[in-house]
Amino acid sequence: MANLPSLDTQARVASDAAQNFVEHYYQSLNKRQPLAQYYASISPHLTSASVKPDISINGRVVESTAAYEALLDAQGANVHYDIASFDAHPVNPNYGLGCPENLSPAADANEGGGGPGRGKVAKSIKDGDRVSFAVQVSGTIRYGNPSDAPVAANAAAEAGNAAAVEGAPVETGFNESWLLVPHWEALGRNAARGLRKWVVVSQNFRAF
Amino acid sequence: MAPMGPKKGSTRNAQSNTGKPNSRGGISKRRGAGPLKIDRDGDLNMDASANASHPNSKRPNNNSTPSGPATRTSSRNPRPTAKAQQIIQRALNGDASQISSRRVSRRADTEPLVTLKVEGLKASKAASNQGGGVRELLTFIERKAKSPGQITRPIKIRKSQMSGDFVYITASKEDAPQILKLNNFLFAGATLRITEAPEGIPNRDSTPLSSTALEIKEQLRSVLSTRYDVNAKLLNLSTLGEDPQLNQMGFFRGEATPEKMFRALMAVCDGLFKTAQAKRDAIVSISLAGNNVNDVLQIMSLTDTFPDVVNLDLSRNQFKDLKALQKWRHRLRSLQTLLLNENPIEVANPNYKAEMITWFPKLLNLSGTQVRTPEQVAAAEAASRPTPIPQSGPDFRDINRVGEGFITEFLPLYDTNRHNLAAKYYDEQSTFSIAVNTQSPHAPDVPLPTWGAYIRFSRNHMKINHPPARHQRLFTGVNQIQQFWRQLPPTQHPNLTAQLDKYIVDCHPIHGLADPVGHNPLGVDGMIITIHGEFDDQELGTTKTAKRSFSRTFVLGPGAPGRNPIRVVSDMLSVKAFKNLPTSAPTQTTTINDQQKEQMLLELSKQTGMTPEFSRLCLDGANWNFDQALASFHEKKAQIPREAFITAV
Repeated sequence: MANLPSLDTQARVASDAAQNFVEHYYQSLNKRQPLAQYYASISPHLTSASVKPDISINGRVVESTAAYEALLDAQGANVHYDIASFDAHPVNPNYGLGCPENLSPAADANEGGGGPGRGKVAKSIKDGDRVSFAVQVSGTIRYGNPSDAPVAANAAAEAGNAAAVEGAPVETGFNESWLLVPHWEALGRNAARGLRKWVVVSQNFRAF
Repeated sequence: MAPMGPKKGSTRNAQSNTGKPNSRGGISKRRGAGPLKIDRDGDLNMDASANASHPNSKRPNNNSTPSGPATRTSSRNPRPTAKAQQIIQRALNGDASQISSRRVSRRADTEPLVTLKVEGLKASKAASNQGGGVRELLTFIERKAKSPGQITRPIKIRKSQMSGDFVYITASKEDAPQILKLNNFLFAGATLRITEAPEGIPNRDSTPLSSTALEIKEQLRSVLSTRYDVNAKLLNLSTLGEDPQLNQMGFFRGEATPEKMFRALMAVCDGLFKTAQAKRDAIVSISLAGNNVNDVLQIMSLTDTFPDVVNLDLSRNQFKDLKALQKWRHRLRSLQTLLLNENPIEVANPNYKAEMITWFPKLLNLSGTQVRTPEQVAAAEAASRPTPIPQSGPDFRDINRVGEGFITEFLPLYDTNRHNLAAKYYDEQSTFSIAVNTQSPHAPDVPLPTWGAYIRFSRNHMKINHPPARHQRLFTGVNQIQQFWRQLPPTQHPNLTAQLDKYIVDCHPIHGLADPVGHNPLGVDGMIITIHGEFDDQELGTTKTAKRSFSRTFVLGPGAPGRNPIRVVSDMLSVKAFKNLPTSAPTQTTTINDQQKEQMLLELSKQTGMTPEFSRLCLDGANWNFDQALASFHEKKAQIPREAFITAV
C-alpha cells in the first residue's frame, strides 16, 4: 500500500478525468447519442463485482442507463445542457472493486518484473490510473429552441414562471453529482481501444 | 444569377476600379444602369440579368458592372437622380460609404488620429461642384498644408465626412498642426475656419438629414401611406413599377436600381414603428404581387423589416424554382399564407408545395390551397415542445440514518462553529473546495449578488484550467479546511427540520471507498449526499448580507479507529445566485386511492410504532408521500408525544 499516488497526482488525475468526462458526456447528451459507454454497466469486471450505476434523476431512482435514456427521449427534442461550472475531487486513490486478476498487485510478482511494488501494476497505481473521483457539475438546461420563441411567451418565462409557460423555451438550472471509478477493461496491456477510462457508478441529477 | 444589391464596401471597390486618381471616397457612385427597368407589362423589373432570356430582347443590357465601358460613358451624363440616390443611400442605408477612406496606410491603425472641423465649404463657389466640392477642398488642404521645408512628406487626410455645414477630416497627429495653419485661408472665395473637433466625427445617425433627403423620405412615406390599408392591415406593394409617384421620383431611371429603392422603402417602413410589436400590430399582410422578382435575394430586406408577417402575396412574379426561394427557408416563421400563383415554379416544379410546407411550420394556405389546419399547427407545436423530467420528492436512501444525522448536525454547525465541525468530521485526507456558478438562472426581480468573497477561491474547472491554480484551490486535510473556512463569509442556513421545503436532499449508498485501516483492498461502503438549498451570508467586515443558492456534494465514509465514526471524504460546494427550489409535482397525491392509503398507514405504523391516527396525521402532512412522511417522522421524533406510539398506550 505504500505505492499510492501523491495527493497532487490524485487531484490532477481527478481534474483531468473529470474534464474529459464532462466534455464528452454532455456533448453526447446534447446530441442524444447513446450514453451506455459512460456507465459502469458497460464493464463486465465491474458488473461481476456487483458494481452497478446508481442513477437518481430528480429524486427518482432509474433502473438502468436505458431507462434514463428513455426519460431523456420523453423530454423531446431541443433540450440543451450547458455547463457553467464543475469541480472534481479524488475519492479513493486505489479503487479495488472488480479489479481483474491480471491487474491485481499480485500480478506484478508473477511477471517477475522486479517483485511487488515495482512492476507495471504498481506504476499504474502510482500514476493514479485507479483513482475514483467525484464530480459536481452546475449548469443550465434550455428547453426549446430560442429562435422559435413567441415573444409574449418569452416575457412570461422571464417573469419566473419557468416550466409552466406554454411553448416558450425555458431555462432551468441543474446540478449533477457524479462518482466515477476505473474502467478495468480500458486498463492494462491488451485493453480495447476507444473505451472510457473511468465509468459512472453514481449519478445524482436535480433540475431547479 | 440575379444581381444582388450592393454589399457594404462594394461602392469603394467600384471607386477604385474606375482608376481615376482624383476620385475621393465612396461619395459619388459610378455604377451605371440602364434608363428604365420596366418590362412590357409595366412591371418593375428587379432582375436585370434575366433580360437575356426575356422575350423583350431589344432592351439594352442593364447588367451594371462597376468598370465596363458602358459605365464610364453613362457616368459622364449628369443626372439629377444621382444626387438624390446618394443622399437616400446615405440617410437610410447606413453603410460606410460616407466616411471615405482614402489611401489608408497600414500605419493608420496604430497612429493616433486627430479630427478637425472645416467650415466654409458651403459658402465657397466649390459647393456647386459635383459632389459638393469636398474633393476640391481636400485636395486644396493637402496641397497647401504641405510646408515648404517638407516636400518629401505629403500631408494625408485619412478620412473625411461632410456633415451639415462642416466637413470633418481626420489626419495623423503629425499632420494635424500643419492643416490647422490653414485656418483663415481663402478657398474658392470663402474663408476656411479650421478647428480641432475633439468630439470626433459626428455619428451619422445624429446628423440631421439634408432637406433633399428629408424630402425623399417624405415622398416614400407618402407612397407607403397610399399603399397601406389600415383596416386590412395590408401593405400593398404590388406592381411598384407602375407607381406614378415612384416613377416621378425617378427611381426607375438612372443609377437607382429597384432593389435599392425597395431597401429604402423598407428602411422608411422600419422608421415608422417604435417597437417590433407596433409593427406586428399594424402590418399583418404584405403584397408584392406583380413585381417581376425572380429571387427573394432581391427583396431580402422584407424579412428584416417584417420578420413576423403573417400573409404574403408573391403572385405574378418570376420565381421559377425552390432555389429562388431558398434564402427565406429559415425566415418568416409566422407565415400562414403564401401566394405563389402565376409564378413559373407552378409549372416548373409542381411538387414545390410539399417542400414549402416543411419550410414554414405555420403555413396554412399556400397559393390558395389549405395545406394545414390551425389544429394541426397547434398539435405539431405541442409535440415539438420539450417537457422536463418531472420532479419527485427526496431520494433519501439512508444507511442507519447516518446521512440524516450528519446533515442535520452539519448545517447549523457550519453556521456557528466551523472549526469544531471540521475537527469532528474531516481528517487529513478530506478535501474541500468551492465553485462559483455566476451564470445560473435566477428570478428577474432579484438583484444579482456579488461574488467578491468567493470568486478568488472558486475552483470552477470551466474557468480555472491550469493544474497549479486548481491545486491551490483544493483544500486537503482538516487544518487547511479549518483555515480556509475562516476566510469564507459567515452564513446562516434555514433550519433543516423546520424549513425542509427550502432543501432538497438526496443520498444513496456507495461502495469501494478507501478503507481507513487499509485492511480491505476492495474498500469499504459509504454514501454520497447531495443537498440543494439556500443560505444568507454576511460580507466580512460589513453588515451587508446576501441570499444565495447552493448545492453541496458530500462523500461520507467510515472514520479511522479512535476518530469520529463518520468522516467526510470529499465536500464540494457550488454557489450560485438565489432561486427558489421547485416543489415536487403534487400529481402523486391525486393518484393515490384509499386502498393505497390504507397500506401506507399500516406500513408507517409498523415502521414507526405510531398509532394509526398519528400515522394518518403524519401522512396527511406529507401529502401521502410515504418517504417524506417517514423522513419527517424521524426529524420530529423527539417532539412527538408519547401517546402517539402504540406501545405507550
